[in-house]
Amino acid sequence: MNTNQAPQQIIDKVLSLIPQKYPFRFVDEILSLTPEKISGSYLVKGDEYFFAGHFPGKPTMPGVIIIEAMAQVAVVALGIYDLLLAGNDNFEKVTLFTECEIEFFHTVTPKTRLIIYGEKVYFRREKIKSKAWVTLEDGTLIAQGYLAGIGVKNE
Amino acid sequence: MEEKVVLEKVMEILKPYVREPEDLKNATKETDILNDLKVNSSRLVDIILAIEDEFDIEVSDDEADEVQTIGDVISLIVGKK
Repeated sequence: MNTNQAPQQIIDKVLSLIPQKYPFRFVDEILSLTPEKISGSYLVKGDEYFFAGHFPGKPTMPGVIIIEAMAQVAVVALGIYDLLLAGNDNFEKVTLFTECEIEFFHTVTPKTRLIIYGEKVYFRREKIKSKAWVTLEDGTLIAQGYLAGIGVKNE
Repeated sequence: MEEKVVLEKVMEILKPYVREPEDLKNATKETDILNDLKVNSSRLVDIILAIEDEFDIEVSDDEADEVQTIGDVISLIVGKK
């Protein structure tokens, strides 16, 4: 077991501090968390609002939503943990997306569970950049790339 | 290190973050990185990290906050070499 692994109460706290909520929350659980790495999961239930139009009769998870799920885990949650480790308990800021470079390899349909992984590239001046990838439970690679976000005041 | 060499290296570092390559060709030390070159402000972090690597220096967050123009970057680097 990785000794850097965050205790469960910290994992629960990080999860609760993710500002994105239903219907725009795409992480159910944080499966592992260290200062440098994170993994989380999201069950694609099939009743998410976007499936009605993407696409009628052929529900396919939009790539932009997959990117959002990657950002919520690899940028937002990992960034929150970084701030907690630095002793910052003031979460008046939200993390806004600044850039990403993602490639897709496989489509996602309802009733599948996504496993989302993140590895920190750097955290500096309120900006976090991470490498992230998403797989199905059987390891099938869905998407991978780099994402970054920056903390701004929630005004 | 000569200022001219520093300037050339800084221009090379800025290249991937500038929206219009033409803007960089016409850039001088007075050129404002965010406003004139239209660099995304969050990319300043990447630029500072690249400068640290290229010139083997450390730039504090406070020093990075003072950077506005290409000349500011040059002065920062030359002051540390």
